Amino acid sequence: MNEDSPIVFIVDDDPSICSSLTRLISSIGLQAKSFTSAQEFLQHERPKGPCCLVLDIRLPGLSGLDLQDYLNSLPYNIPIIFITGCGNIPMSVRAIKHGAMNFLEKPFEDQALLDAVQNAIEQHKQARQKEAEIFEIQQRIESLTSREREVFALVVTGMLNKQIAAELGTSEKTIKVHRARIMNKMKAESIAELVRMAGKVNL
Amino acid sequence: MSPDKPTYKELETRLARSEAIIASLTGGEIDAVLSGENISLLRTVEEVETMRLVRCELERLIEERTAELAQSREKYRRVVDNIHDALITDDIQGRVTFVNDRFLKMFGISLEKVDSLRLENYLAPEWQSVLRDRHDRRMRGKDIPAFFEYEAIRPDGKRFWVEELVTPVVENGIIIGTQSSIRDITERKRAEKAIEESKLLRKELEHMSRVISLSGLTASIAHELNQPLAAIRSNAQAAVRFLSWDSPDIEEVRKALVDIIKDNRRADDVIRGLRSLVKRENFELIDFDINTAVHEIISLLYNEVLEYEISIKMELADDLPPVYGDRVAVSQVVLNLMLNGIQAMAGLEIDSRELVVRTRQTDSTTIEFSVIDFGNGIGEDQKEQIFKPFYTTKANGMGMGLAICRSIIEANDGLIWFTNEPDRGTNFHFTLPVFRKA
Repeated sequence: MNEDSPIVFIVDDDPSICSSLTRLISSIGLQAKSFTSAQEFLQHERPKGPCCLVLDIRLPGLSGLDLQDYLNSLPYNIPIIFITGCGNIPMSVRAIKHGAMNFLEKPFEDQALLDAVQNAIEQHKQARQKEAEIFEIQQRIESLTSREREVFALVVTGMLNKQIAAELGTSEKTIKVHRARIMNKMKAESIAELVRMAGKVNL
Repeated sequence: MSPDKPTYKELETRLARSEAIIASLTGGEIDAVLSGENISLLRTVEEVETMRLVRCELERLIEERTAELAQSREKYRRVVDNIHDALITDDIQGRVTFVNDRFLKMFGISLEKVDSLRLENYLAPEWQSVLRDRHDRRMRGKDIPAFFEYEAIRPDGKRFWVEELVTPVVENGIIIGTQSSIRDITERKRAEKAIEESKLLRKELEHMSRVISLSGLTASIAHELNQPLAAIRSNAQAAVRFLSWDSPDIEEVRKALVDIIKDNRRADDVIRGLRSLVKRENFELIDFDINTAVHEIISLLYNEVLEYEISIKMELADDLPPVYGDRVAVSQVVLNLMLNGIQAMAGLEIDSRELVVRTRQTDSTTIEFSVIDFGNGIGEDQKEQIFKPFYTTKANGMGMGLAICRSIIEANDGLIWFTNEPDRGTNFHFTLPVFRKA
């Protein structure tokens, strides 16, 4: 397994649960690493590849829900699957509301956890791709001049060159030149694609 | 009397002889009496008269002494009879040789029966062999503790507790019996029992605070059993998968099985530990005022406040909406957390023993209760364990207190947690939902 292989993190204060889940996950050929506290997990280096977190709600020190909130405050979107021995409704509602992928009660079917883990990894893979894409688009936008950015913002609203020229107080010809440069710098094949890019970065 | 005063012994001998002579003379046996030796004794009538006087004097003295002796005996008898303790002496075989009046009154025995008095007559049956054994060993010169408490019984069957102080009676270096003073300690025993009972009551209260509602307990049991069960299941499922690989990983399967055995044992331990617990049923959800409940618990803690010399600072928010939950169980959580806080400050200077109790509304649906002590806080090493069942730092603790607190609060849809204060001390908090009218 290389450093980009998917990895499943497990945080549970019970060492028995840690080792049994690590074994279960490795039995389907996935890499797993366990921690017995939230702090221990946070000290661990973040993986390069896709990952997910199997997290016990009840933990000493920082609880599972606290860790979720903390991770949400970071630019670090790791999908979380909560596991609990004694969940109550308010807890599960809170966990899901704050973006948890799943909420499993112990003892659970192995397939339920393995499915959840695989879904989470898949989701993380896609999310990371999307992030990479957004990063790429942002890089391209960075390369635009400030005038080009102004024109870009108006082009994606569907305005015609003439209208844009009027809006910016310049000639239609100049706008045409700007537009060609924008298409080039943004590596867009069509206006439709340019609009999609703008949508992805919420421009 | 004559100047060369004869000794008492001489006088007595002479008197006896002269009396014999006089008797002989009056009896007319002159020849037998008037031997040379006897004549010398009868020097003069005057001498005989002197002897008579001496004899009278002696008799008077004896009478006087006898009266004095009787008087002193009477005095002694009065002291002995009026003494608060019962007195009894016995001989080496345990036969009663003397009792005082107080003894007769205390044990309800009439004077005539004293001669035939035996242990059986005044000891509760279960004490007879013990006391006989003590007596026998003492008679053999063994060193037996002087004080002893036992239950006595009167002829009418009434039982009472006594304390006996026994000392051996030694004559010429030989033990010939014992003398005992016996005190009725029924009142003392009653007081002791009352103290014992109040201690028991307090113990029960503390016990209640540890072993609480059935549902709280069930949640706790469920959690403790779920952990090993979940681990067993995952290990078994992993093992099945390892076996289904093209080249099965037998080593991983072996490890999984070893862990399964270990967790099975752990589940056994949980069940064994729980057998000793007592349960209280009925989980009743109602709306109630948390501040009232807190006030009630504080009044229950009156003795602890005095004993540990702490002050309680109340920071209870006004106009809190009622909360919804099991009032009794929640009160027990409050009690438990406060007791922990109080005990955590036992070693502090009196001035710094302050327990802060706080209630507040954190949002429209949540009430938070906090108890803050200024003890040493919870060590890093204990942090992991503190809410776990059967974990305790107290010598006589069961380690169920916080585990049950947590299960109760969670069963009431709340959360419980703690934070260590930066300037030492621990904050325990729990939340409860605000009551909402249906």
